[in-house]
Amino acid sequence: MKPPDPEFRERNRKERIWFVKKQAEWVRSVPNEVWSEHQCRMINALYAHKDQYPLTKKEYLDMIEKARLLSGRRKGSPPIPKRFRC
Amino acid sequence: MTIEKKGERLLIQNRHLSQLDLFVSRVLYTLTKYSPYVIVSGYVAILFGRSRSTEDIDILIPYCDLSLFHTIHDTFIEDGYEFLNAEDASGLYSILASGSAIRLCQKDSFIPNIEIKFIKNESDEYSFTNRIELIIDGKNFWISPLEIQIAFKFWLGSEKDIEDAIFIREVCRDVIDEDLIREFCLSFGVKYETS
Repeated sequence: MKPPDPEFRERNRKERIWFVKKQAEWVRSVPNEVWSEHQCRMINALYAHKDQYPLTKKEYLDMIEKARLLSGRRKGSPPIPKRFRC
Repeated sequence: MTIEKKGERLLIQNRHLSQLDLFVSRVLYTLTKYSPYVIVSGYVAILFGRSRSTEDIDILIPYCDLSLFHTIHDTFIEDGYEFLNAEDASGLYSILASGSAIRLCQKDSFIPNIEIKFIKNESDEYSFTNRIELIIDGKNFWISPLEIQIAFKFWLGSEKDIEDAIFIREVCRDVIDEDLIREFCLSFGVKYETS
């Protein structure tokens, strides 16, 4: 499969950030009962079949390890400001 | 969203709790009998309304000795939980002591799970020492200070982390110290305006 070109990826990144800001704006604008009910419904639906996960514990842990390696996340710990150092 | 700030505490009233929140709350209720903790990473964004789920909740605890860990381990097993890592209590303790994480879940249901680590560096230490008590309809969640959380997520750098950071910054802008986020970002070597 051909990976998406950099221009597409950048457009996609900006669009996702725009959406996150839009969502934050909506969460701020409605009472706690409203946003949390939406969130609850979504999360509970995702967990509806959590007991039928088709992997063994070991396969699951291996999968997480691989996903972490591929995530592009930094590892370790950045230096905190001097005034907070022990 | 209404977030009330009462002294050092943050309160969110009338928030519905999902299965994920209830699971975390049950685990923390047991854990706090033996050890303080701080929640870091993605679940903090979810607590403040980010519309995503997570399979694991990251928790830091201070270093404890093997005997206390045995007690914590046995209590969770008796309460119907299990550890995903195929080790007994001593083996799990060795994993923690080596700086790695162990995973706790409800028996036979490994999603969601709690990823537990010992505090091991200065940013962990800062998050723990300055943790904030978030109260959601009477349930307590001790979370990392939002300013370091936001900067740390920018530093981690994956799309999901950056989006979480932006979300927390936008939603919580009335209760965060923007200058402090900038100070952390400068120290971490990341741009504050990543978006």
